[in-house]
Amino acid sequence: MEKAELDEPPDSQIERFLDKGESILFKFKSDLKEDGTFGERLLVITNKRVLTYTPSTDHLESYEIDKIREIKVFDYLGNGELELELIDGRAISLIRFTRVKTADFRKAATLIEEIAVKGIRIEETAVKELEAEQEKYGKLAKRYVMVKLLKFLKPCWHLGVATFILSLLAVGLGLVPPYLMKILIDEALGQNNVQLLIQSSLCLIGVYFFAMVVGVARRYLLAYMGEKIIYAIRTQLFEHVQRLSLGFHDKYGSGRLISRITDDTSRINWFLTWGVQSFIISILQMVGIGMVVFTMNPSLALFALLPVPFVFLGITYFRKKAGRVYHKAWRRWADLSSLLVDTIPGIIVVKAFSQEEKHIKRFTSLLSEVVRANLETVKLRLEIFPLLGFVTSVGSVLIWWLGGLKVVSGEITLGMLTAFVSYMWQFYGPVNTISTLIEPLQTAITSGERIFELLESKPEVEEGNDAVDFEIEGHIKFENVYFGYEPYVYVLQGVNFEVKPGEVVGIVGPSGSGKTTLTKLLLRFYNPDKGRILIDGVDIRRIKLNSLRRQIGIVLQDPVLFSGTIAENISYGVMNAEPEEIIAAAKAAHAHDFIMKFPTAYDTYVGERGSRLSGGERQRIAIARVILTNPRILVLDEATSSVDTITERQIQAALNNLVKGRTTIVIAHRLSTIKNADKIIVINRGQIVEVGKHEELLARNGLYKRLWQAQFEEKERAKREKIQLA
Amino acid sequence: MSLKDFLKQLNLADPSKVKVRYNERRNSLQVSIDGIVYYDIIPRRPFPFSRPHFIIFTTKEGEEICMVKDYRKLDKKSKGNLERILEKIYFVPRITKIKKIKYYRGEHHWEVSTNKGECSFITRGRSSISRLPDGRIVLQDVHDNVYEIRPWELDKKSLEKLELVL
Repeated sequence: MEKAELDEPPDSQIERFLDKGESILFKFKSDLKEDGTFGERLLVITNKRVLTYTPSTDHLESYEIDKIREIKVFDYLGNGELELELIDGRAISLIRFTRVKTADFRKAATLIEEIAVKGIRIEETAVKELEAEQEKYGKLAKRYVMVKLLKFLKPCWHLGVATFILSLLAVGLGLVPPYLMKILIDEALGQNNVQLLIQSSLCLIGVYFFAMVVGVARRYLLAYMGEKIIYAIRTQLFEHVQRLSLGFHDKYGSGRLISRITDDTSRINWFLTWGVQSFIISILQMVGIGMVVFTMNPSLALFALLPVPFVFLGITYFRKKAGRVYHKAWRRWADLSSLLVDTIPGIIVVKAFSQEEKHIKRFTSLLSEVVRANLETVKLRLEIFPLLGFVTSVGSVLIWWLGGLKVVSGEITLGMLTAFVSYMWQFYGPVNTISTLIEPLQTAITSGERIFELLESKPEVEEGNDAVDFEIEGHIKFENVYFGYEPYVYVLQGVNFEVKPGEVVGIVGPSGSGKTTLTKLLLRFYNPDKGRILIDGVDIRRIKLNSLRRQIGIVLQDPVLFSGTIAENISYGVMNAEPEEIIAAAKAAHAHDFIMKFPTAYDTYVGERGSRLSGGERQRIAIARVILTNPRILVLDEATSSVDTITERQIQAALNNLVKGRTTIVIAHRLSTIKNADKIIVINRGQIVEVGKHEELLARNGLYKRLWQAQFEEKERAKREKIQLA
Repeated sequence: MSLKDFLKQLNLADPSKVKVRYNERRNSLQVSIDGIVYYDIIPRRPFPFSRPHFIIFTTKEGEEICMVKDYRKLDKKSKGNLERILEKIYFVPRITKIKKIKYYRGEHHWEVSTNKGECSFITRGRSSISRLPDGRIVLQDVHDNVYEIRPWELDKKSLEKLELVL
């Protein structure tokens, strides 16, 4: 959500228009002016008026609050509009805004409605709440993320120290060979000292061996530490995600949550282990080599390091550009594979419409784009790396040249020159490492931000300290319940109804009218924005979540099974269910017979998400699962809408078994399923429009009757068409 | 209706009152419950792997007569008779040694020794291998034959081969 800037512009700009005793309640900033061009415009709600003001044109409009009859929000393409309807019947375009600001102005509309139309008095606290809400969406500072990320290293700091010491050792060992080389050339070869030659050779072998051992130990320790850290982060994340409210899952979507637990954590792992360590080591190496060469011969050292800035800049440039070019190539490739995913499984349609040629053409054109993008990446590499190679080679030739002159003049020895050249080559290692580190470092920080955003978000539905655990009898009451998935966009508006213990209540209404939302509120997946829900006279916010959800059974339209056996799925909600209980539940759900037809019966694997079973079979297993938990309250959410008629009848029989003696809420699309309900609640656009028994509602000639007739007519028509076909 | 009501309808029999005889002529069982005799009866295991001792007795047509929660509690003779027919109905060779597992075009070709002798079979995909909570592994081959593995009974070399396909 975009943060509404409440602080600017200075209040004085508007305050000069205010009357005595008038104070500003809310301010919203739009990004479109009254003439429809981009620019700042303000909407100000005071305790007396609604004002709009455009600073650039000094244009002010104002409307008395008690002259406003209605406020409407219109969503257009690319922008939206608030419209005021005044008591005298005039409709006024109050303000326009682009879609970035839609959420803000929906809020504004709700506030205007509450103040102006409903006459609700807004308290100062409400203003604070709004600000706090907007505060919540502020971003974490980058520095902050780094510090937090490093905190994950804390539990295994000793490992960190050990690897760091090993790294120092590795750097030190790396500096030795060129120096030994110098001794070897100058003193052993130069003075024909065979003894020294053998000694220094053995020394070199020793150093290389030691370096290898240190390298292996360091790598293993790093990997070990990384696995430990990532284990901690992932378990912490998964636990947190399991506890977060449904609202959070809705907002994020399962794909994004999964990628945070897998991809983002991997990136952080890389950063915490390899990233940090290689960065430190590279710096140490550069400092170490720099010091050695400058003490050996400052003027030559300057020449030796001359190409370094070019190499650094070159690689950084490459990295920057490569990101774009490689991404482009990857996009083209993704286009191509999505074409394949589309056309190969859909081949029957392609052939039926004989459109093979069209797809072949599209494929070849996409493929040539892939080729072009790939060649671009090659070109980029060829643009930079050969040049860099040339520069460094020229650098080393320059050293041989200038250094050679110094050797000839006797200023330095041949060994020293050799050592110089090899130090110079060593110097490019860390330069390369650091320049390649920059980009992954940035992505790791972004990943860190995402992970902390997740870890630091609190479940919206929380259990109070005084929450109670009690046996539900089954009385349900909704009291003036308002709720919206997005702030201020209500899906339910002032819903009131009551269900007595053991009653069966049907809820009907057009799709999107808020039926399913009702049940989600009952299970307290979300908290109502206003009003309350009572079970046996107790506000469900005061009931322990476990206790509440255990005693409410829900059968969803599209039942979710987990990979495992049928028996495991049926006993999902119950610890240590007895086998006869599982069978009894399956029989009650009319599932036993089809289960026994599998050779492995209840031990049959259902596959991922129950993929090896048909929709009707999954549905009946889901019903058995609920029967086994023996809930006091039952919610059936369009449980029969996705199956054929015969299966529907079986499921209906299963449900009848389940419903007996329990408070039941049935959300139905097919009205025939709730014809015999004790009470039918008709809901439309989030409001209850009719309540009564089937016959009463039919007699009333309202929405229910229209829905019933529509379904009835459809059935009749289907019948007629069948006869005609016959 | 609550779960208790459904449980009452289950017809769960007291094992001490159930007698099982093998009817050679009819190639089926003869079960008497509390003195009432049922002919042409076949046992079924609703949980062949997780609770193999749970038995449902049905007629050959599939009509359920009664259930026994743990057939090991039947008298010795009845138990023997029952096991004789179970051996046939549930033919699940137990793999004792894995000689070879070859991967070819998405299929695993197994060559194994079992408690029923040597055999070879083909499985397809990971879904044909399932692990039970107690650690046993059940394989289902392309023809729906079923094999059981108890990893703790295998030798080291067989285990190494098994690890590669799990």
